[in-house]
This record gives sequence, C-alpha cells and structure tokens, in this order.
Amino acid sequence: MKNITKKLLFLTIGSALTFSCSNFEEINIDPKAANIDQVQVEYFLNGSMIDAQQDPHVAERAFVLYWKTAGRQQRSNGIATGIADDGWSSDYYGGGYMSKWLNSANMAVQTAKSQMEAGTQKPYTNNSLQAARIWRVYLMSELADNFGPIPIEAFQGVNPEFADLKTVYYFLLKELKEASAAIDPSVKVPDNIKKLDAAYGYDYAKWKSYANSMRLRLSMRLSEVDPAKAKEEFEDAVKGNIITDASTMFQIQEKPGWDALTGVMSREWNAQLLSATLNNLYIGLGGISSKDQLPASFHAAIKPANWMGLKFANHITTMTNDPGAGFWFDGLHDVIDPRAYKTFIIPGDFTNADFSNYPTYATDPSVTKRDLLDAAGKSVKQIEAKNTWNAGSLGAWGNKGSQNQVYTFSGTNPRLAQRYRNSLNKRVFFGPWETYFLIAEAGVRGWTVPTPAKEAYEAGIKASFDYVGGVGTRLSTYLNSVSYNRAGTSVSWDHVAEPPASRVMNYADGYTNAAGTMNAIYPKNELYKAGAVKNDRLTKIITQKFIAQTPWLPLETWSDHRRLGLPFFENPAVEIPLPNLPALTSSNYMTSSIKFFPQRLKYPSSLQNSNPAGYEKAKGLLGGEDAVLTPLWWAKH
Amino acid sequence: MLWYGSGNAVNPYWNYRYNTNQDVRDRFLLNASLKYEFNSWLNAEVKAGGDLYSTNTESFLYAGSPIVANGRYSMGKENFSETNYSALISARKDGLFGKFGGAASLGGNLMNQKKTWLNGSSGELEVPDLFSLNNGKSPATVSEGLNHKRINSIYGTVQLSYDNYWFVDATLRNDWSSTLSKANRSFLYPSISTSLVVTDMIQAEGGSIPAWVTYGKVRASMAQVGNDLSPYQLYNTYTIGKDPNGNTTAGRNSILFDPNVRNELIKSLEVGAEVRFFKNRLGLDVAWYKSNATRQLINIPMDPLSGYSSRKINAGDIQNTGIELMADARVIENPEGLSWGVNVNYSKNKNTIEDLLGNEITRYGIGGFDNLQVLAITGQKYGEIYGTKYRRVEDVNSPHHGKLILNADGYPQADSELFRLGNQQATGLLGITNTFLYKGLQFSFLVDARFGGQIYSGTNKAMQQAGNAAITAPGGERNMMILDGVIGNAEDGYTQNTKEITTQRYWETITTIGNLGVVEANVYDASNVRLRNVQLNYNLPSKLLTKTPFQKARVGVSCNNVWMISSHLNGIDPESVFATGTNAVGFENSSPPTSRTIMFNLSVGF
Repeated sequence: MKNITKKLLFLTIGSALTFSCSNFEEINIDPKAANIDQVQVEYFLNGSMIDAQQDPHVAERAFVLYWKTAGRQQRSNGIATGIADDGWSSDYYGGGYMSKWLNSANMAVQTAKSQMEAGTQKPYTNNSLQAARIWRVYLMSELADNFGPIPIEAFQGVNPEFADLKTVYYFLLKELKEASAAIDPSVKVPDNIKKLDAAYGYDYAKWKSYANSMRLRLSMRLSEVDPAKAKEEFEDAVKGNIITDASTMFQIQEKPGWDALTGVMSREWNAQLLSATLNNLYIGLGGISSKDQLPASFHAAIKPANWMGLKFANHITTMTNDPGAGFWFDGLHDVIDPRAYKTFIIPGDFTNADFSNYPTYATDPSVTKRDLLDAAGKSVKQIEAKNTWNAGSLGAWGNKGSQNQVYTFSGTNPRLAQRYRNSLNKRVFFGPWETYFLIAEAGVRGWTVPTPAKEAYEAGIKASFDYVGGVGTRLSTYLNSVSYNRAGTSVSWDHVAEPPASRVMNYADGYTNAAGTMNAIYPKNELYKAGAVKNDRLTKIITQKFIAQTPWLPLETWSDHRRLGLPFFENPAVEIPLPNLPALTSSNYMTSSIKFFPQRLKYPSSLQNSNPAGYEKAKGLLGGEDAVLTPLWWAKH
Repeated sequence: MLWYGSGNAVNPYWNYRYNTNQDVRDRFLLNASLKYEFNSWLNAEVKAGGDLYSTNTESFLYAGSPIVANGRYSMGKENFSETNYSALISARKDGLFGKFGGAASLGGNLMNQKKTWLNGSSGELEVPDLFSLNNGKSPATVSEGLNHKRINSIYGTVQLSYDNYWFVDATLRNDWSSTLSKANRSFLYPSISTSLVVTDMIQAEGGSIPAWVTYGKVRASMAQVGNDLSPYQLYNTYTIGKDPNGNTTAGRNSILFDPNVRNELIKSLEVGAEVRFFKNRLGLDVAWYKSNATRQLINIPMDPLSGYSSRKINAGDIQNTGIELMADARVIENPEGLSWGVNVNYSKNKNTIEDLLGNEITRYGIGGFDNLQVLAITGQKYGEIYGTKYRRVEDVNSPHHGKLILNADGYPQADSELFRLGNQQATGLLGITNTFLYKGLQFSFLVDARFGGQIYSGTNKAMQQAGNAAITAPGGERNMMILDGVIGNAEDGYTQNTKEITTQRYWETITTIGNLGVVEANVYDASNVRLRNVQLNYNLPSKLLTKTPFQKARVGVSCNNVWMISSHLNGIDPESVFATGTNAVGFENSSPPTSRTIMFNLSVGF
C-alpha cells in the first residue's frame, strides 16, 4: 500500500516537474507581434501617411462636418453655429485616428534615430527620417490648428505636457528647416521602398519642396501675431525649392471601398451644398459671362446682371448680413467665376458627368421641384430649381426654414462635383496655387520674395484654373476683370477701387410677381480693416486662395479667416437665437465679430481625466475657456 | 429597400433576410479519472480533462442596401483548447480525537490553454452577392491571433469539525502563471472560514432552547483570491500590417504594458448569522461583508498623445462594503386551503475607490460625453457624476443668492466648469416577494425598490429639445414665461428679470448649450419602485392525469418588468444605460426601453 502511495506521489511530482515553468517566458511572447528590430522606419511612415487620409468614419466628422463647415466650403450649421460634437472631436483626436497617425510618424522618427545610433541604418534611412519629420510637422499643424496648444514632446509612453502655440509653431518651423536641409537628394532608393511613400515615391527633391512650401504656410500663419518671425522664416524658406507646379503637388490617390484611402467626401448622405460664403465670392467675379461658360441649352436661364431674384419674405431669412439674403435666384447669374460651374453642378444638369447622384439610395438629387409651405403645411408656391443657382445662408431660419422645402434640399441646390466624391481623385494636401498666393501675400506685406506679388497672384490663379481644368482660355479676360463680386472684390490686381456703397437691383416679389427695385449693399466686413476695405490686394489674394483651396483644403480656408477675417463670411441667420453663439443677436447680425465664428474645437472631454495635468496646462495656455469661441494665439482677437 | 423617408436607414425586414450572420461551434469534452482508495480514510485521484472547440463564423451582406452597394462578406475561424491534469490525495476521518473530525487534501493542477483565430473580410464585393474573400474591390483583409497560457497550481485544504456543530475550513493555494514575469509568477492565497450552529451546540452541551427557536447559526470567513493576466500583456510590441494598396505598414499597440505588474489579490471578509423561528415559519439571515480588490489589473485611460490609449496598472484598492438582510415568513400555512409566504431581501453596498495609483493617478473616466462625466475618484464612491450647472448668484451676501443669472434676453446660462452632481450608486435595494398557494394554484409577485443614486437622462433632454416632452407644454399650454432669475447690470450687480420668453425657446436653450444641454437640468434621482415580476402557475390535479402517461403537469404564465410604480425619469427606466457593457450606469442616452417579457410555460413530468 505504501508503495502505491509513493508511486502516486512520485508520479504527481514527476509530472509537475515535466510540466514545470521552464518555458513560461517563451509561452508569453506573442509570436504574431513584431519587435522593435523588425519594424522599419518606412513602414511606420507609410502607415501614418495612409491612415491620415482619413477613413470615411473620421473623414465625415473632421474633414466634412468640421472643416468644410467651419471653412465655409459647404452650407452647414454645426460647428459654424458654435457646436463641436464631443464624440467627433474624441474620435478625431483619439488613438484610432490623429493620435495614431502622429504616433506612427513619431515611431518612424524614433526608429530611424535608434537605427542610426546603433549603426544598423540603410543608406536611405537618414532621408526617410527627414521625410518623417516633415510629415509629422503637417500632422502636428493639423492638430494644433483644430485644438490649439498641443504637446511637442509626446509619444514617450507618459502623458505629455502641452506647449503653447508659439512654442509649437517655432518648433514646427525649425523642424521643417532642419529636415529639408538634412535631405541628401543624391541617395538612391530601392523600388520596394519607393512604394512606401504614397505621395512622392521618395523623390527627395519633392520632399524638400513640400517642406519649404509648408514653411511658407506655417510662417504666414504668424503674420498678425508675430510678424517678425513670420517674415524671417518666410524669406528664408522661399529661397529654396517650393511647390510651383502640378508635378510637385503633395497629393495622395484615393480608392473606392471603405478604408483609409476612400475619398474624404464620399459619404453619400452629406449633401455638400454650395455655401453662401463661396457663392458671394463667385457671383460677379472675373467678368466672364455664363453664356461663355455654358452650352446653349442653359442660355435662356441666364438672368441680367442687375437681377436680384425672387423675394420670399416669409420663406427666406433676412436676419443675416449675407448680401443675397431674402432672395431666391430663379436662374443663372450673368457673371460668375468659371470655376463655379466646374466645382459645383447646376441643379437638374443630369447629363453632366460631374453631376452627383448621391445619395444613390434616394431620388432627392433628381427632384428639382419643391414647395414653399404655409403654417398648415400647404403649398404656397412651387419652386422649379432646374437651371437655378442658389446657396442659402447658414444659421437658424426658424419658421421660414421649416416652411421652406428648397433651401437645404439636394436636388434644388448646386452641389459639389462628383469627381471630388467618387474616391477616384487625389486628395490634395498642398497645391502650387497656395505657394503662389502665399508669395503674393508676402509681397503685399513688403517681404523679400523672388516673384513680384502681382506675378505670383496671377500665377496662383493660373495654377488653380489649370487644376480645375476645362475652364477655357479666358484667363486673360479674367485676370483683367474689374467686375465686383457680391463681397465687393474684383480680380484685376491693378484695380483697387472700392465698390460703391450699393447698387440698384431689380427683383420680383415671389408671391405676387410684383416688380421692385432695391439698393443692394456690399457687406461690411468689420473683421478686416474695420469694414472700410473690400477690394485691396490682400482681399483679392485671399478671395482667390479661398476659391482655389475648394474643396481640398477647407482647414486652410478656416485658418485664413481666423487669421485675417478674410474673405467675407456672412453671419449665421438668427431668426431664432443660436444658443452656442450667444453674442450674435437680432440687433447685431449686420456686423461681423469673431464671436460669431468658430475658432477651434473643444478638447475631447476624456482628456480631463486621462491627462488631468496636461489638460489644465493646455487650458491655461489657451488664454481663455476651453470652448469653440476661444481664439487661438495666431488668430484675430 | 428603404425603411421610411429618404434617409439611409435600412428596412429591418430586408436586414433580417439579407444581412445575416452564422456561427457554428463544434465542441468536444474529454475527461478521464483514476481513483484509488488506500483505505477507508485515504484516497488518491488522478484526472485528465480536455475541452476543445472550434467556431466558424460567417456574415453575409447582400447587395442593394445603402450600407455597402455590392454587399460584403466576412468569415472567421477560432480554435480553443484547454487541458487540465490534476492529482489529489484526500483523507477524511470522523472522531479523530474524541468529538473532533477532520479532512485534508493535497493536490496539484496543470492547466494549458491555447486559442488561435483567423478572420478575413472581403470589404465591398466586386461581383455582387458572390460571397468569397477574394471577390472584394480591395484585397481581402486578414487578421490572425494566438493566445497561449499555462497555470501550474498546488493546493491543500484542511477541514475540522467538532461534534457536528462547529466547523473550520482552511485552504491554501499557490499558482504559477505563464502570463506574469518570472519575479511575480508565483502567488499564494489562503482562505479560512468557520461556522457554529448555536442551537445544536446548546443542545449537545445539555442545554435547552425555547420551543419557538428552531435554528441558529453564526458564521465568519476570510478569503483571498489571486488572479493573473491574459497572455502577452507584459511586453510592448508592434504590429505589421498592410495598407489598402497592399504595402507594408507598422504601428504601435494601444495599451502600454508594464512587465512589473503583479497578480490581482481580492480579499474578502464576511460575518453572518442565520436564525429560524416557529418551526421554520420565520427565518432571518444577516450578513456584513467587506471586500477589497487590491492590485486590480485594469487599463487606465491615457492621453492618446502619449502613444497609448491606456496603460495596464495594478490599481491600489477598490473596496466594497455592505450588508445583506434576508427574511422569509410563511404567514399563513394551510396545505388544504390558502397559504401565504413573504420573502424580503434588503442590501446596501458601498463601492469606494480607496487608492488607484497613489498620487500619480487619482481618477479616471468610466463613461460620459461632452460636459457629463462619470468618474472613479480616489477617496470617493465609484461612479461620481460631474457636469455643468446653471449659472447662479453664488455670493451668499447678495439678496439674489441662489437665483439663476440670465442673459440679457432672459434665458438661463450654464457655467463652463464641471461640478459634482451626484453619484450613480444606489444606497439600498429592496425586494419583496409574496407567494400565495391555493390548492394547485400558485401566485407570486416581486416588488423591487431602489433607493438613492442619480442618473443623467439624455432621452429626457432630447425630448425636451424636440419639444415632445410633456414638461415642455404643461397641460397642453405653451404660455409665455418669465424666469425667476436676475440679469447682470453694470451698476449694482443684478436686477430681477422681467423678460418674457417662449417655452419653446426656453427648452431649446437649456438643451442645446453643449452637446447634452445644461447637465444639471437632466440629472434625476434614480430611486424607483417597480413590480418586477408576476407569476401564476397551476398544477393539474393528479386525478386528471391518471389516464395519461404524465405524473405531473403544470401550466403557468409569468411576466417580467410589469409596472413601474414610481420613478422620477418621466417614463424612462432608470435601469437603462447609454451603451452595453459599460460601468457608467449613471448615464442614459436614447437607450432602447427596457423590455417587458411574458412567458407561458407548460411542464410535464413522466
């Protein structure tokens, strides 16, 4: 009996020894995970650049609903009426998106540095490191232009400390300068590595151009708050290679499907309506008649230059300083910027290859007849919107809005061309026109630039025309045009005469057809030179820049307006007050104020708990509340 | 296809036919044991067991919906295996020394657990409705993984009893887990419990107890339990993947691991007593407990700009203390006629954060949105609710102290700071079941009550904003209103408000300041009383069954969540939460209504 006990005990102990803990360390190593020696600089950078193209989830939130709305490239309320959605901001900021993109860019930098220290680098590692630094600058600027103060020393596995925007911008400018200088363009890159750079295929000369053009963009951001630094950095950067033609554009090919490369504007339910802001810049600008732009079938719809449209006092708001407020334009405008019809498509133009049939699951785009209703919901007037061109003011329309089936409906308003929505385009991060307009602005400021301001301004317009394509050979007519747009600005560089205070326009009452005349005023933009100037050169430059940056760079049009108050942004309508724009009231909607425009996004609410010290610091550095209406350091105050 | 209107909503009738999932699991359980009885009091047993299963999942989305035009396909395969080898030597003997009896055992276990999985998705299909991974517009995306862990254990138990009225049990266990570092791999945890049947003791020692006392027992226990981690949560690694163009990408993991984390250790202490009177017709059970989850392994959120979304830490000390009371009474007992029984449960639990990570981490978010936060804060009860308040006159010396500070138009305003508005924990829970028996008929109902605690209701806010909450038009009236508040003026501070506003604008204002309105406005007392369950059963008389093959038959109906007797949430169930699997139960936001279920049942016995 005791023998058996012993045997069993031995068996137990023996088996325990056989299955001892000796291989426990091995077991706990994930065989599917990569270690630091296996990951490569270019893998991280590729991941960062591709992911930052924004999959449809975050693109709809950040690019479309925030930037396009705040940057007034589409008609939408949301952030433009002071509301930042915590869910959207958290997604954009969080570990699935921006933080991930930046994390990977930082890992590319760290990995390159540690390989170079260890002597395990490849001949091209140094250049990849510089590309990673340049790309990281872009991402940091994107984050900082949305929220404000961000950390510089981050991604070290500890909660980072936030830095003020001046420190951030100085760091970004320094990085661009150093990285651009440190690139050795003579290094040969193997083809399998070239594939890992979706923008430039590791063409180092182009990376240098991008770095320098980015330095122009970011230094110009400081023009109002720190002009000396802006000038110094700009003048230095503009001496190097810059993005001046289509071949050096920083752009990345989109792809259909549902992933990071899917088009940023591909969600079918986003109507992408023309904004009143952009429409006010388009109408009358460039002196080229719609007759010369459109096939004969549209000519009958073109209205005289002094036609204001149909007045619908009960259905279209007038409680905004939008110069088109109150009227439905029952046709096409006599003169309009030729890019308008290429970028936005006339309602009912179904045979146009660029007509967007989104959403394909509904018939809305093909419906051009809609009604204006009375309080009981009965039709007062049917509107046929085919061959018309309108962009309703944003804001709160109250009952006028709830009884108006037309003003935000997709079939009755010009909407963004399908080529920007079908995921077959290239998303542009930096186009040559921006370089030229930046140089033109620098020239106006009296900084030393290689190209005279006028030449740069006109080259910028040409680059934009070339990019949009198919706008014909009327560039010289356009460049010499002294025709004012609805904001009171003309194209010609040499034409700086201010528009008259108002002009006499004809209209008809929409309900009775009674003819009338009115004095249409050019809106007063108090944000720029106290509203006294509408047609100086800086206004022209920013007007053209706004048009050229549509639709790929809405964050930049938002930033230019925050920095300069240009171009003219109409106030959201206040038929009923907007609780998140408390300063805008029924008594002041005819004046402009920075309190009427979003200035930033609120930090994600989770930050208060995930990084309490960082959040408190960031809030302090903001110099105001953590709120949408708190202006950033470089913005107008 | 369209559900309604012209949105992109999907018709549920389409969905259930053309947006489908299928899970198939094959499972094998194997067990073998060999036991040897050395003698009447000693035996040894060796066991081997295996649990193996494989799961195949597939999901099919057909073409034609706004979700994805051409449809989508994904599939997954998972294999799981767990083997256990154990050996146990047990001894048991009554009357060891006099009235002492005892039992002891010593054993060991070897556990080996492995899981592998592979998932693939086509993305949007190229050829509609051809459900194949290689039929995607983009290359299929594939993910795979493997989990492997082992735990070796040795454990022993000792039981002592005295004259069958006093019992002491003690256990000791040591685990070695592969998921912890070498230094922390081994962890030991004991337990001890004792109980004394007082009534038996008195009788055994020759005493006597009053006739109306049936039974009495006191008990106490102290236990610790150790837990390890999941595999691969010690060392930070990287991922290598493919971008949509098929080129290589790399990234970091989202959780920051610390190789020095230790096992969790949950300590609990309980004392209790059970008494029964009047021949078991009245019973009472009382317990007090305290449990401390020390070194709890949790992921604490980090600022994602740190490189990680969260970090794995041993959180200091999370404590639960409370009492539980249980009483049952058979008020009327009449086997021939009507019987009535009452069962009462009362519990009170207090969950507090004693320590997270010293001064380094003193709070973390467990849920919330925008200006509403549900937090765990060191030194506080779990689930503190923070949010925005109305702007009010805070100066106690002001004659207007406490009044709302309105804007120039007479509307309320919110403070931008977040204030403590409550806590999500209930202070007490009560449940009362009444059961009636009459012949074969049984009827019972359970009334549940929850006392204390708060909840933010986003649904109430949304209805106020849309104007379809009853409170926005009391009695169907939409009278102009003048709020009792003050408006700031330059001279002497505040003047009483006289501005008239519409109800619509009032509600619009307080619900659209921030994403969730003025949070304070929709924080409610979560106390409620409800009729949780009603049951009616009928046992068919055996006479009726004599000619059937059945020995027993019963029909019944029961209904759950029957009637909200009292609640403060205007029709929203305080048990609704904003998301599944969240601990932030103090946050409700457009949750689906809690459902009522009615079940009919028939049971037969042969």
